[in-house]
This record gives sequence, structure tokens and C-alpha cells, in this order.
Amino acid sequence: MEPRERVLRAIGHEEPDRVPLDDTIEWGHLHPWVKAADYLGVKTYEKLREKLGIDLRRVGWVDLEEIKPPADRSPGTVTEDEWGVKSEITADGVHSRTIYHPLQHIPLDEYKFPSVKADFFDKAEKLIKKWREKYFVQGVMYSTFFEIARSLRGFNTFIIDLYVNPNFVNELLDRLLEYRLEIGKRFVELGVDCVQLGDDFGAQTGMLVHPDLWRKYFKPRMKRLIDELKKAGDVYVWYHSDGNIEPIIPELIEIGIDILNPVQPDCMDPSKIKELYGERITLHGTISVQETMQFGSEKDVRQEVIKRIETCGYGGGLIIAPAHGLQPSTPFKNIIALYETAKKYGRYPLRRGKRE
Amino acid sequence: MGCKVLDSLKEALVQLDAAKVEELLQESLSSHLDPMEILNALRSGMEEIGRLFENGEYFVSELVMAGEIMKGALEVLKPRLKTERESTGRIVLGTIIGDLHDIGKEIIKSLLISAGFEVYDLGVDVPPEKFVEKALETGAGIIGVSALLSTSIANTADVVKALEKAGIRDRVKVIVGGAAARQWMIEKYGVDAAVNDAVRGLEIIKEWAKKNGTA
Repeated sequence: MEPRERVLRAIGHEEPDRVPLDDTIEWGHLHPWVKAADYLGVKTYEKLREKLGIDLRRVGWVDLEEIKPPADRSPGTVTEDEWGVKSEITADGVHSRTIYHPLQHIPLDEYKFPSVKADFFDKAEKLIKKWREKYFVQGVMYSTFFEIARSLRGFNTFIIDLYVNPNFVNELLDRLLEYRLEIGKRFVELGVDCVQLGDDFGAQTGMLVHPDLWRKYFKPRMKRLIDELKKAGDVYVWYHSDGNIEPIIPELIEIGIDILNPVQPDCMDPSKIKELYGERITLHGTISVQETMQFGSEKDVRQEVIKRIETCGYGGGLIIAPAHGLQPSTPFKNIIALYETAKKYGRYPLRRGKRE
Repeated sequence: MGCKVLDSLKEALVQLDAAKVEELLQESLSSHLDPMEILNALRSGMEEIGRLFENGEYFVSELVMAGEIMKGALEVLKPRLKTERESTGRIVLGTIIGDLHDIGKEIIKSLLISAGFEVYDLGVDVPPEKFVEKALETGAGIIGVSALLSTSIANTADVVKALEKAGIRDRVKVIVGGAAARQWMIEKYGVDAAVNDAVRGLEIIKEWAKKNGTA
């Protein structure tokens, strides 16, 4: 079965030949993926995906091609993104932290949104053409509203805005909505299978933002965005939020989300989410990066993958991937173990895999 | 009469109505209510907010907003508190080296300040020995280590080691808070407590301060 067909069936809640697989290569740190590529003897990220059996592709974000060891970043270096948010590389040369939030300094009506780079859609179009026949192609629009807003304004400041500055919040989010509509509709025109939205509303044990605040500011705009995208073409909507977002899952489904990522197993029980909402939504991710991928043995990874397939794979509706980007110290063999196990035990009809 | 204003003040804080808190705070002060009683009303409001958080009715956003309102109220009240009020305890706080996340640290900080603690905040990416130096300098009996990244988990063990090296392990308690906190850290790293949320953390710290009296 071709990867695209495999994914479409799973999302359609039919059982394909096996559980589809996705990666999170550019989401976190490249180090473990580079080591995995080296071990498998491949030189490009595309070859790595082929070798691992990845059924989905992403366009419109970081297009990584040739595999090189991650470049050293000198501590103290300040970088500025297209939104004017400045970050400083920290002492470990790996992480960075935001040190300048433009909307703490510039009035909103004077602040200009970045324009989409001239070659952005050309690149996306080329990749969509290249992949669309064979793979399920996703157009990336992470940090849809909340995360951009909070990095423009600073986390605490923006949370306080939600309470005391509703006009400002509405104006900012309306502008972000227009911005997202423009990019999203273009993705649909170019023929993506799915648009990837996302905002982290969950913390480890509960929501970062009160569900009522989410309902007031974010849900209506998310609904409008999804409605317009689905009106523009035949697309699925994928939605990412880290952490525990159980209180809003039914409403995410109500406004049209088809695929939920990452169902972080350290914060929510994927089997419970499957039981409650599995007929209406596809679970994407579900393998712990906070614990298992980083600290577990290959055996632990195998056990978690088998458990997930057994408890969440029935009737389709499951796409397995690490629940987020990987930390630099993640053993590369855990990557291999994840995909090997999923390919072996994820065959439909599911047999209850023998635990190794 | 006085109690009624203070009850309303507490209620306004619990409802996170910043404007109303400010108004009632001014009203309480112009009615010559004892600033210490006003402070206690606000503190009991913060305790109620903590309970609502634990019951799943309030979330991180409400803790942030409550902290902000409380910060403003304390600025007004502080100069009016006649004597230097006795602090509930002293605590050194920081995000562990290798980690830069400070949302959780800021929340526990504002909860602690609201509860009357003297907080020495070392910021983010803090090396273990800095926590210990500050504890020695200030006589703080509690160190709060914030950690979100699972990568930085192991670094929290070094805080305990640094305390042992400095010979003050027996008089300083260590609590790890944040997404990376795990119960096994108590046995494996020798920390005294590990919690995933700030409200639970505050409870434990208060308990320690009460028992110790000199935290």
C-alpha cells in the first residue's frame, strides 16, 4: 500500500495495511536523527524518512535536505526572527531564550507583520508536486495564534492582556487570523492533504489558559480558520498542543479538527482519549519523548509502541510518531526501535503483539 | 463594616477583578483598617485561588493573573505595614542550569511572596553552587529548583551534592518543581520533594516553614 493511501485510510477510520508513521525531525534537536542516519548509512533526510518508513511529509517550514552535524551555536549570540522577536543562545550552545518581545515596545497599530518570503510558496509547491502522489502532505502553520501572540508580547504580559486588555487581544488575534487565512488558503490551493495548526495550551498537569478564555478568544477564530480552509478545498486539519488539554478536546473536534497531536502520554492517557473520542479523531504522536525516548531503553521504547498499537490502533485512527522533537541526548537506537517496532507490530489486522 | 469590605476585597481577588481589588484596597485603607488585616484578607484570597487550581476550576492563567494583582496590592500595602512584618520564611529560587523556562518559577515566586516569604530569585540557567551560595548568604532554609526540560533533570541532583559539600545539607530543604519533577528524584537524588504544580509546591514549602519556624 502506498503511504498516502495508508494515511488516508487511517484518518478515515479504516484499518490500512499497517499503522502509519510520522517523524519530528526538525521539531527539536537534530543530533539523534543525524546519528540514526549515520547508523543507517543515509545522507539525506528524505532517505532517512524512506528508510524509517515515514508516511507523511511536511512543507512550508524548515526544509532540511543533506544531513550534516548540527552547527555549533555560540553562547550569547542574539538572533532575531521574522517577527522581530529576539533570542539569545544559552551557555549550552543548544537552547535559546527570548529576550525581546516587540509588542512590549511597539504599539500594535505601528507593528508590521512579516511578509511571506517571495520563494516560500514556490518551494512549497515544488515539494507538494514531488510528494503528493506518494505521501500524505501537510502544510505547516504551527504557532497559529497563541504562541505567536505570546512571543510578541511575552507570556505573562499576554496572559494579563487576556484579562484586562481585551481590545488589544482581539485586534492582535484578528490580524493573526487574516495572516493565517492567507497562508492556509494558498496551501490548500497548492494541494496539501492537510493543514497543520498548533498552539500549546496545555501544561504538564492542566491547561495553561482557562478553557473559558480559550473559548472567548481562540475557539471562534480557530473555527473561522478551519471553516475557511475546508471551504477552500478538500483538506484535513491537524492540531498540535503539548501538555494536558483534555478540557477542550470535545470542542476541538466540534470546530473541525481531524487529527490531534501529540496526545502527550506523560500528560494525558492516549488509551482514554482513544476510548472517548477515537471514532471522531485520529491520534498522532503518542510516544513519550519526556521519558521513554530520552531515558528509556530500546526495550522500553518497544513496549510503549506495542502498548500504543494495542490500545489505540484498533479501527485505524492512529499515526505513530515521537510526541515531540527529541532532546540532544536521546539515544539514536531508540529512534530505530520506535520505527522497527511500529512496522512489525502495527500490521493490520492487529494481532496482540508478543511483548519482547 | 470592616469585615464586609475585606470580604469583598478577598472575593474581588478570587474573581481576578483587578480594578475592583484596587478600589476596595483604597477603600479599606481610607477606612483605617489595619494593613495587616487587609494583607491577611488578600492572603486568604490567594489560598482560595490555590484551592480552585487544585480542584481544576482555575488554571495557569489564573495563577499568573492573581500574582499580578497581588503584586500591585503589596506595593500599596508594604509602606503602610507599621513594623517590618515577620517573614513566613526565606527561600532561594531559580531555574536549574541547562533550562531557561521561567513561567513556573514566576508563578511559585508570586505565590510565595503573597504568602509572606522572602524570595531570593536567581533567575534561569542557575548552576547548583549558586543556589548554595545564596542559601549561605541569606540563611534561607529552603531551595526551590525549577525544571521543565527532562534534559536538565540530572542537574538537580547536583544541588543536593553542592549542599552536602558546603556542609549545610541538614539545615536546607530542597524542592524540585516543574514539568521535569518526578517522585523518584526524592530517593535517587536525595531531594526533599518534587512537584508538578506550583500550588502543591507552596503547600509543602509552607508546611516546612511552619515546622521549622526559621526557614
